[in-house]
Amino acid sequence: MSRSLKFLETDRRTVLKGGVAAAVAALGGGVLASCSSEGSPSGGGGGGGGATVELPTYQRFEGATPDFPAAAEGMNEGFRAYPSNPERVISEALGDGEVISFMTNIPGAIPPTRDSNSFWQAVEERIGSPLEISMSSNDEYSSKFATRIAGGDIPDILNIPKDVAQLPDLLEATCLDLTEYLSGDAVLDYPFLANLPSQSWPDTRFNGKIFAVPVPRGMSRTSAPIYRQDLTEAAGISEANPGSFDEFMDLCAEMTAPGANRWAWASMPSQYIQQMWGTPYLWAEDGGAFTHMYETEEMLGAIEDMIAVWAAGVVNPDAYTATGGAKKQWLAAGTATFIHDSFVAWNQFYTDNPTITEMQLNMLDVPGRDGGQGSPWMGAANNNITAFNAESTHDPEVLLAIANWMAAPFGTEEYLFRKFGVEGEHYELTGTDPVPTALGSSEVGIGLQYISDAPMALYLPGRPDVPETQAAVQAAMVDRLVDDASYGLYSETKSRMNAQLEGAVNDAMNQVVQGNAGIETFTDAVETWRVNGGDAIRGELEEAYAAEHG
Amino acid sequence: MPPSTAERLAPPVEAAPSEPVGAAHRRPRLPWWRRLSRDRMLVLFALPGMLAVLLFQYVPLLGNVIAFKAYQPFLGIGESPWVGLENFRIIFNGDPAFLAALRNTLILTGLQALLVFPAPIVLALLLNSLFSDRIKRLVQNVLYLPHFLSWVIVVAVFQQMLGGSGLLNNFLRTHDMAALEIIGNPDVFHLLLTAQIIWKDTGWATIIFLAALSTVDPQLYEAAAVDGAGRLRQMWHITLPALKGVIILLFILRLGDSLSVGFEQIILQQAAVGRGVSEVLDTYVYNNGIVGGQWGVSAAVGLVKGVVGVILVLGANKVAHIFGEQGVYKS
Amino acid sequence: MSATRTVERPSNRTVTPPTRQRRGRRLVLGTPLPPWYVQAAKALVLGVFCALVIAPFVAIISTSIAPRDQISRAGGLVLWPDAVNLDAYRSILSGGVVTQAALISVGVTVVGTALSLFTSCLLAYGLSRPGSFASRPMLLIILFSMLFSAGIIPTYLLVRGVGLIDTLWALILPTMISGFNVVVLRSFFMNIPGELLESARIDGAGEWRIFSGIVIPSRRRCWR
Repeated sequence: MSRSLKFLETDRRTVLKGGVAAAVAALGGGVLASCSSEGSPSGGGGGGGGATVELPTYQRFEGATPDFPAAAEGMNEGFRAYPSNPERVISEALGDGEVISFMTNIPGAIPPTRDSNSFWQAVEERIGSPLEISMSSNDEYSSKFATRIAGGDIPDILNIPKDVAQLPDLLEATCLDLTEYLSGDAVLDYPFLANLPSQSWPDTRFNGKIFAVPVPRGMSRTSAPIYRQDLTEAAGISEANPGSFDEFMDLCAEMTAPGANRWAWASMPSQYIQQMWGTPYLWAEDGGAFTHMYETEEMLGAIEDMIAVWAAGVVNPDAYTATGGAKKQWLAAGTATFIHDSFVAWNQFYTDNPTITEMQLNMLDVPGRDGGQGSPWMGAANNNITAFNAESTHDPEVLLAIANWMAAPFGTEEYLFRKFGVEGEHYELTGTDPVPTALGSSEVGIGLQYISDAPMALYLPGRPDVPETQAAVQAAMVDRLVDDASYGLYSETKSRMNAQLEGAVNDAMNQVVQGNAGIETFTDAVETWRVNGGDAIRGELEEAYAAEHG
Repeated sequence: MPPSTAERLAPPVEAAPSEPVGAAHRRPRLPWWRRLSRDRMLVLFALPGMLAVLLFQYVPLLGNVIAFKAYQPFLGIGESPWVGLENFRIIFNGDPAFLAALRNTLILTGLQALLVFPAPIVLALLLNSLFSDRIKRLVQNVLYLPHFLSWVIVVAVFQQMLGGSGLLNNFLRTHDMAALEIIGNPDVFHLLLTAQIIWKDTGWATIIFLAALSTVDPQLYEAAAVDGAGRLRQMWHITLPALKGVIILLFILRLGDSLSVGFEQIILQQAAVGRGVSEVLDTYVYNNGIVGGQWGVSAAVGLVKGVVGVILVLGANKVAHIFGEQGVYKS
Repeated sequence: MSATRTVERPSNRTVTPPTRQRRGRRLVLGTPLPPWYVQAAKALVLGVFCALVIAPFVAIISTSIAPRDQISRAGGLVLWPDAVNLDAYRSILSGGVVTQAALISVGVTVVGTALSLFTSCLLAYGLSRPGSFASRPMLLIILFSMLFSAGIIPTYLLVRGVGLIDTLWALILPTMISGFNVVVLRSFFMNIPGELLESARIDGAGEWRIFSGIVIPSRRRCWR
């Protein structure tokens, strides 16, 4: 008979955190507005003024040469194999010998504690300080975060979860202002942080100050239909990419056979259809005015198509009830051919199902609804941001040096050590590729990737063909990617109410698509959304935009 | 008609409260210090438990003051600003979604009172009528296993067995029969929830009823048989009265909880059937309060539910007294 | 039939009720057995219910010992494994994490349950003699504690304030007393005839002796 309401981490498409606060800076003083603003990719216009601060400059770290270089900004670099003899860039110890505490969520199983974890101890030796990591599962992390903040036990380094209300006030009250260490060229003291993509930084900027380091994702989080190419080829389809919505329907129908327990889709491809129609990715901006995707004509057209897709029976009937994990198993089992997921998940399918050797994955590009090309959506720029406790006894430069170490990119020895462990104990080299041992699989996942991380590289140990396919897909898409116009702008109503507002509209959409309600249910829900907060959010975003662009 | 042997020997399940030893039987009560000294051992017994309850359950209740504040964890309970009854607005603003949630909550409470509450009683009677103690033990131990599974697993199991692509429907499809839409069908959702609760908790709930039944003297049955009572009459006159007190007690306690019809179980299945049929008070508060970090709203609704529960429990107890039953406590 | 009744002490051992023969039909407790179709119906109902309850457990256990290949091909749930593969158990038990976690869980459960049982019984007995000092207010306090809950943050702040953070007692003490258990136990304790206890008192037994010697043994069945 428990009445406590636990936080469940439900699957959100994006919850973007704030950026510049358009309104008054709550605390006076200390706003560092850089006088020279040229060269900073997303800095505001012209120096001076209080609302913007110069973001860290971007400087690519010249490490390993990629086999598949990024053709445009935002793409991930691809590697067929891990470079042999990776260089160790940082040789001096970073820590000050005192205990550094860190709090984070861990996706997956919690690893052995420090006393029985040789990898953890090796990390402590490398960074020169004991590392105390407080871990919790994804579902419970938001509760744990709120509880510890309430109790005042804030660790030195903290992973800020999504859906934290009043984030700027929280950061002002409890976290270090890092502007002087990171703004503009100051970041060059931390070369790996300077290597982080410039689109990651707006997320860390609040009230005109930089409060955190980002954990970048970018295009690796772009989602599109991942599919079993081996299954489509077996069905006689040589080129799976559909040219229009109608061809897409035919493709799905070919891969559906309910009598044989097979359906084309593991979940309703709502985002894909919207991308075909060209709806905005959440918010679109035009001349300073913001429109949400719910309000567009294209959205209604997309919903009509979704209704048709559901009625055609090409989506697994349990798509709305099964868990995400179950759907991944459907793809592995061949029960589903298509699933909407990201490049990160692409590799995960291979590593989770080593016995299914015939599995060959690829990703569909987005066509226009009636031909031509569609507009895929850029994924979330960051997984999370990580801030430092203002009351920490450590020197901020020490903490930043550690964050810098965590961001060492692919190809360095630090990356190899951080992701795979100690050679011989946690992984074995097959050629130059690290293959985790059983010990490695259980011990290595202690959450370091949430302090900071390198931009993802397209790489799968032992499978040089996979990055090649992935790079080709990315190259085809990168020029057409659509961004969410509200990224980098902070809206108080949005941070407080967005999840609940969107939840109500999604619920209505799900019922309409499954045929349980008419389209008016959706339009009514959008109207409610507008009244309950949508218009307020729009106003705040437009204000923030105007403040930034003069 | 003279009372039958069975009735004469019926166990005193509604024992008249026994006179405390040495108490004055007359109206004027002893002064409190006398009673304390007389009952000191009993009070001593109760002390550890009471301290635990007061410390760990009542002191944190002071935290419910955040129902009247706009609470943010980093501000702390003291520094968060007062907002009066703002957090209670969610209940009283006539939001149709809230009214739908209230309606669903009441429907589910009714279904649970009708189907979920009697199920363990029926099962207990059935088990009690078994003659082999070994089989009784075995069946009992099997039936209360699902109680220990979490809702995440139970929902996943139901979905994999009864879902659109689950075992049952696969079987039907391969044999050319129409698939049954069970999971994800808004029309049968309330019954599905009830069935899940019955599956999960009936076995566990029979424990209390079987314990009550075990206090019945077997000689009563023999005496009744001698008087010519068949099985059904024995059940009516011996078995059921033995259960009456426990049933009423549990029902009153259940009433206190009647506005909580399940949270985890429902939120796991909400996406498929839509909020119209699945939203209940707890999920409404979650979807409209918690996700935005609105702790005060959750505390406010918790307070309202508690007050309603108190009214229901006290009221039901009073009603029980009117019918001559003991209820939870005797006034 | 004896007119007085001895103290009930239902033993824990199972005892098949005595059967006698009467006119060729078996009797149990003086009543003939129900006809075969009633017995068959009972067996069917119980059997179906048991099967419904066991089937998912069988599926879960089968999936845990089935080969990985079969699981992937079946889409996640296997009813009957093709072969027995203990890799999953090996991997979770070898790391030490699960073993340690399991040991802690068992320890907390054993200690917690024993403590909870002891204090709950004491509390329930202390409240079970109506008219005793403050029994009504105390009962109401217990009852209302079941209806209001404080939420996670105030509970955390309290546990921290009391100094139990980072100890196993934080898992045991806050939930030691369950209002529901106390109320039910009290109701069973109240059914012990007062004359019994009074006669024990007259014989000079102290309250503790009454509690441990009479009340607890006679209510062993309700401890579950």
